[in-house]
Amino acid sequence: MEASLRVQAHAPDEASLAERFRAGDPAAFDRIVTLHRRQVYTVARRLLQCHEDADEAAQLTFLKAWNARGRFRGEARLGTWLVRIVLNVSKSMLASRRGEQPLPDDSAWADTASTDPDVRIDRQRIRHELRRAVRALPARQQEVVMLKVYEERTYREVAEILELTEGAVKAHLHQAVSNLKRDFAAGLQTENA
Amino acid sequence: MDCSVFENRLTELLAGEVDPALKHEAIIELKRHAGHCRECGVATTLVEMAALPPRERDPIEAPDGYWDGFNAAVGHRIDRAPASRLALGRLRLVAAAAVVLALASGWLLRGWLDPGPEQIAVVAEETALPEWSELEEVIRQASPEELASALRGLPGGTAWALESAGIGGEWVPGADELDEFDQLELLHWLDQMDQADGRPTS
Repeated sequence: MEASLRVQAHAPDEASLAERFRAGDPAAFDRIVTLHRRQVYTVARRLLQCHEDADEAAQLTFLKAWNARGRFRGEARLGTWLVRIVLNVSKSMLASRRGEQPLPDDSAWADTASTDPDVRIDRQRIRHELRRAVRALPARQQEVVMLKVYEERTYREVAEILELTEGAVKAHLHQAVSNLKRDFAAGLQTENA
Repeated sequence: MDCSVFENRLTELLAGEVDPALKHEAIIELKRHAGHCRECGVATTLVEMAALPPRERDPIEAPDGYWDGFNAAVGHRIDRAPASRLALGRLRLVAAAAVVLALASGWLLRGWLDPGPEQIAVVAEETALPEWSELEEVIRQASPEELASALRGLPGGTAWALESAGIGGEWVPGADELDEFDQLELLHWLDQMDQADGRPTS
């Protein structure tokens, strides 16, 4: 009863979908996969850097979500819950990869916003520099940057996903920006040396 | 604008926390400061990134046609999953053995030994696992406090297995508060264990 009330606190459609999902309704689950698969895949791809691994992580995330459906208590939104799972799955995969050669980044940029080739090249350069610098950040700061700067989550959502306070999320982001600045400064010194 | 204000504004912009109506002006101010400040000049790339709409900052696309088969692929994995779930019967025994070992060896009091999946796997390999009734008896004889400590100290997956087997939730207060991702980790671990070793499931 309590869980049911918590689920209803979110949008009515989501609440009903969540209830059906918890009850093991395959159609509801299929709808959830369709609604959240891009988000789940994108998070995995940002962390794991290649499509094959992101595909595996995304599938595994939904498998785990299905197996744990009875434990979804509706305290977080389904999307938040799934992102939390994919983060953990991706981190497990990264941990099992530790010591191996890093995979080449095969992420495809989808810059459809500009038709000007110079603008597109310039944006790709910015993205490339940022990706490299973000990957050098401590894991928690990387997660915060990914969820807040790239995925446009609110501070509250990021805090829920990472199980931190909003204040801690802000502090991590601020620290990440300082570190990124320092990283660029160090890169510049190396270039000038 | 001093450097600390620059960094704060830049963070707010990257976080998407600046009123859209003020964003353009804020970026001009940041660029102005970066243009004459040696320390912040290096952060021009960040300012440029902040100037982009969030959706254009680093868009990621899956290969063409990828989504067409995605739901079916997930469904297929779910259909294959029951084999893993059958392992719970065996795991129940292993998890209970782990609790018994934990209680018997007194590692909780010493607080330095943290039995992980490998250790439990070692227990699983033992052919001479005690009968469930014997384990049950040892667990029954432990005080609720001892059991609660044992369960808290075990890897979440193991504790979850106990709870799934109807032990934790019934006997040990707090078993419901297990971390759900430790529980999920266990399923993943079981998948890997079954796939890698072709271990028999009960």
